[in-house]
Amino acid sequence: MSGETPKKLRDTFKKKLEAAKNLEALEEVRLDFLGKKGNITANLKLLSTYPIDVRKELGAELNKLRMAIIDDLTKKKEGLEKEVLLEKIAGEFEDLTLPTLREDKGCVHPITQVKSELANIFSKMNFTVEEGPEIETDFNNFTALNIHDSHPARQSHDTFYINERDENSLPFLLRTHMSTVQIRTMKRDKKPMRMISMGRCYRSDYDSTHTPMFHQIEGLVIGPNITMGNLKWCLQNFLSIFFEVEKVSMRLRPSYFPFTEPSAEVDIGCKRTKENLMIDDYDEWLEILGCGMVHPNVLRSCDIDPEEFQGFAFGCGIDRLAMLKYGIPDLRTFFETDKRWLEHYGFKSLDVPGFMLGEKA
Amino acid sequence: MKITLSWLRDHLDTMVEPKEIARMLVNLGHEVEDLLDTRENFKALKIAEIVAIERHPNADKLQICEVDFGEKYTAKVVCGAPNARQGLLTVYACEGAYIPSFGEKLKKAKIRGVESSGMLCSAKELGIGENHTGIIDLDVSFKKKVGEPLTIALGLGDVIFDIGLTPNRADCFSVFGLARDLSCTSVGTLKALKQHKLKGSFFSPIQVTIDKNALQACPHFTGRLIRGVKNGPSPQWLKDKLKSVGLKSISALVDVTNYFCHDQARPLHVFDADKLQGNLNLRLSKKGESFDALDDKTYMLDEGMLVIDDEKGIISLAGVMGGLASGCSEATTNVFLESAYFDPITVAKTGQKLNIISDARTRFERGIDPQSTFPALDASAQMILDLCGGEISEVVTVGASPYQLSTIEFDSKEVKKIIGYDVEADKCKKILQKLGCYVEDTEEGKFIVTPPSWRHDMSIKEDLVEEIIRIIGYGSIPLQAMPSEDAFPHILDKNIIIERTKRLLAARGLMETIVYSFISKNLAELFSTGGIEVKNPISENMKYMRDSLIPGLVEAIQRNLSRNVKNLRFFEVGARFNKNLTDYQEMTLGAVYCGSTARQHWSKSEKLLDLQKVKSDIEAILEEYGLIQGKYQIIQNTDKLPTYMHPGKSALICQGPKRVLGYFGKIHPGVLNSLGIKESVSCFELYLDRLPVPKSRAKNTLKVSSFQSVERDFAFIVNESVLVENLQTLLIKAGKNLVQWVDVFDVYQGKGIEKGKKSVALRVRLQAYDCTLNEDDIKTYNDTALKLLEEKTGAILR
Repeated sequence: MSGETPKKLRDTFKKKLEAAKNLEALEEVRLDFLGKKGNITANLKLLSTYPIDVRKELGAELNKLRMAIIDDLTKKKEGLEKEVLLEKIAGEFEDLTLPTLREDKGCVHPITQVKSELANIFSKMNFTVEEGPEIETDFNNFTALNIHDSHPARQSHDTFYINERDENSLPFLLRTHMSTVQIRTMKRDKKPMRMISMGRCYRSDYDSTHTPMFHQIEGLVIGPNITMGNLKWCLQNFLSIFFEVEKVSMRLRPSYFPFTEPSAEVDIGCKRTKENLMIDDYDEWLEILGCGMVHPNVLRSCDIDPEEFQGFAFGCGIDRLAMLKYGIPDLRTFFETDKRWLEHYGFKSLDVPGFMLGEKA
Repeated sequence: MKITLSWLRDHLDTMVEPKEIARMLVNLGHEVEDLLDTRENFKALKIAEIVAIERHPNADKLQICEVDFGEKYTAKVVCGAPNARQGLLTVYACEGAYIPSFGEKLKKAKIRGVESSGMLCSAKELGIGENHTGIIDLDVSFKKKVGEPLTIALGLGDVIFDIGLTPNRADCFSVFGLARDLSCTSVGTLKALKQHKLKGSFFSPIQVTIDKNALQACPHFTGRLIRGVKNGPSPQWLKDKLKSVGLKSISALVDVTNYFCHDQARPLHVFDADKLQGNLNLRLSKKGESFDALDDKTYMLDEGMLVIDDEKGIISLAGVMGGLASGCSEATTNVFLESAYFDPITVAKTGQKLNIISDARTRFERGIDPQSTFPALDASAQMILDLCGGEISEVVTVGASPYQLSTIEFDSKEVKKIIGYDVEADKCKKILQKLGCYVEDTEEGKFIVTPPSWRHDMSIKEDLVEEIIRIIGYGSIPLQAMPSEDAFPHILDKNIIIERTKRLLAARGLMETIVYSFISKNLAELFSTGGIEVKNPISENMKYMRDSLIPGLVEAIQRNLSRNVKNLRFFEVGARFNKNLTDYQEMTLGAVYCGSTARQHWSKSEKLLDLQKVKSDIEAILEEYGLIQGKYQIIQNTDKLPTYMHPGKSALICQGPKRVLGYFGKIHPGVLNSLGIKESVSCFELYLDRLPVPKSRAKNTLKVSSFQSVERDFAFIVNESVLVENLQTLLIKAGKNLVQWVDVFDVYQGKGIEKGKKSVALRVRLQAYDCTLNEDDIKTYNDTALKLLEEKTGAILR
């Protein structure tokens, strides 16, 4: 075993390396040559028995050989390992058509979405968003709005009442429109303002376009020189941005509300197909909101001098806006909490109006 | 209200197309809800003559008529009418003509083997009469008109405008009123009403008085007795006229009153004088009186309704409906005609209380022209004389017209101030004059305006501005940008947080819903929530204003489950109502959970919507409001929880012992059983108005330690009732500021653990900011912690 020449050792190694077909055999080869009792190790141990000049030369040769063997072994090992890995993953497979876990997605209600859109549009026109309670006094809902006791408009409102009575010993009622918030805000501020109010209103009515609870937006602008031309401009802006068209076709026609004078009903031009409502082109008029110049009696009941200030007001169904913009056919379904309806008509959490994705409301 | 083009033309000289008239009506504020042109139907129907006739070869009762209808050729028509004969002038419908009684167009037909092109029509087939025994038989004067369409020859067909009127325009509840409004535009000119000045030939034996306290309700009453009339069916033109606007012809006398009501917004009434006993008196009713009205119903009257009495009792509910007993019939020979002014408020209140809707009420309650009482009395009396003959008495009159001249000072500059653009003073003046106002110049551009008696809705300068711009057209109002500097926008911080909260929950998988603020009595009782009772609910299902959002949301779960829709997570932000709250309401966030986060998945990675899930949603919301853990407490076993919650599996969320922010937990299984819900339902409510609105969004400086941290695990055996939160708190307390966090990584009950006990495993991370902790430090912490936990909770190290 001892005394083999490095050349012979190399040849033997080459043969054995060649013969090693797997990692185990390769390990044996390594032990044969580099192990404690391996060939190279043994030969290196024998060096001390040789004369110094032989020792030096042979030592250098053996060491060179040893390095070459390590190198060869490493290369072969990497090759075999790669083969093993390839063999292993050749049998591996994952079915990527398996369905992922689709957790139910949440959403916000179309009313919330439209309310955010409206708040966004009007805050850009410098309007504040004001609030008020849903249970109201007769004064705030009717009297202050120039709707007197026997006024015909009063009966058409189909008001809900509760048993509790206010300071005028009149029963409290469920507000029939958002104008109550205008009254509250005017009484509080008594100065120029721009405001909208949005919220739930109640009237005793039930069919595909009326529910006993519904949502309204009302707007009010008070100032020394606010005109009906300003009103028209404001509505034109609001409706165009809301319906995402460059310029909505709009028609004002005379109407009557006790709380405005002059009063107008506003129609927008639209085109209806079986499925859709289009606003950018039109062949018919669609009634969309009521508006007018605030009646001096309304200003007076809020302690604002009509000789000093005047203004306009408008009101519109939020549910109706949502139905028109998003093609929802039946108002009653808004309040049914049908999961399938909410999945279909609801809005994604990140679909925030006016936020990040440009100026579209 | 319906009006027809032909009726409109009685009062308005116009040749303008109906569509343009409709457009002008809309511009004037009279919404045209429907426009129906029936003239088209009659255009293909022509006057024709049967020029030859022969027997049908295959049928005894049929004949073949050769018909001249004004063309160069004749038509062969198979006809079964017994009156078909040579030389008969009748109506021919050619193929494709619309036959009103068929409701469709005429098709070519073969009758018993003989081709018939077109048909000859009966009056009934054309919808212009009842006769169906034979075809129309026209008199010889029509010989010249053979070939003329019926629209021209007989004036058949009309245009019907269905108009939605605004309640302020009492004067427009009539054909004449609308004609008068239209005449202010370029559509046409108004034909003046004919004035009648009748002289009675005898003194009316029926006299009228008004109680002093009823003078407000009836300031003016006039009447005439007409003797020796011959009532019967109205002439055809009157029948047609009433029918064209949807009114039923009753008899000549009644039709006259209906005609004036519709034509001039002037309700009248006719009493059969022979059925009256003695004189008439107008008074206010007493509570509990009963009245048999013309609609065959008996009404129980309230106090203060205006009634007309004869000596036997009530004969009319003035301005609302006449009485059954004194109504006119075909046999009426003596009639008492009433033309009066009744107070709008009195009529409205009576109509509302008794729920009677009548054409008279509609007009009186909006306010008729107070000056029309006398003219209408005579015009209608004349019409009765014309149709029924008879002899009229002198006028019976009590009270006087309540009309008071009122004036409005008007500066034409007001138009610009309100509308935003200038209208010349002269133009303003002309428009007001056209509307019937008396306009007196005072100084440059200023007037004193006296509105006409029929326009009680004009009382302030703003009304006049509206009138001027209404006639010019709202379309001319310019767009004017609003001044941009006079307000600062703000959306309340609390509303921004609510919006964020909604979207946060949506991102976490909850669906926002909106349910009615009302709940049913059943639900209110089942959940034992008070709420506020609605006095006049639309149905028993909407009897209470909810005190909590949960009942409505649980009901929504029930509805979805019944449709086999599962895995439900709903939330709502809305008011809850309670008499003890400011303004009776409080903004509340409610949510309900049932099922799992997804349908069953092969990986088993869907998660149950358990209280852990609920609590983590709550924590996320509270964090939005700046309430991190430790700034609020979870309090269990308290009687402050709603009774519909599971007593052991629910908790209050509080800030200190008194300030309740909300609660969460499982719904009581008993409640769910009653609703037929078999699955477990969890919920929470947060009272948003009570949550703080974080003010500053600035952040504290981040503090991290550069020294090594140490983790230690503990497993304790404690009584089941010991709250894990207590163990956590004590472990933190034991380390003063050393403890960075305490995690609970196992809670176990069962094999190897004594009954009534549980094993809780916790991991504590210790971290100092000024040094690396050594073994002594850690041992000190261990000893302190174990001692503290044992002392306070009886925890034994496992």
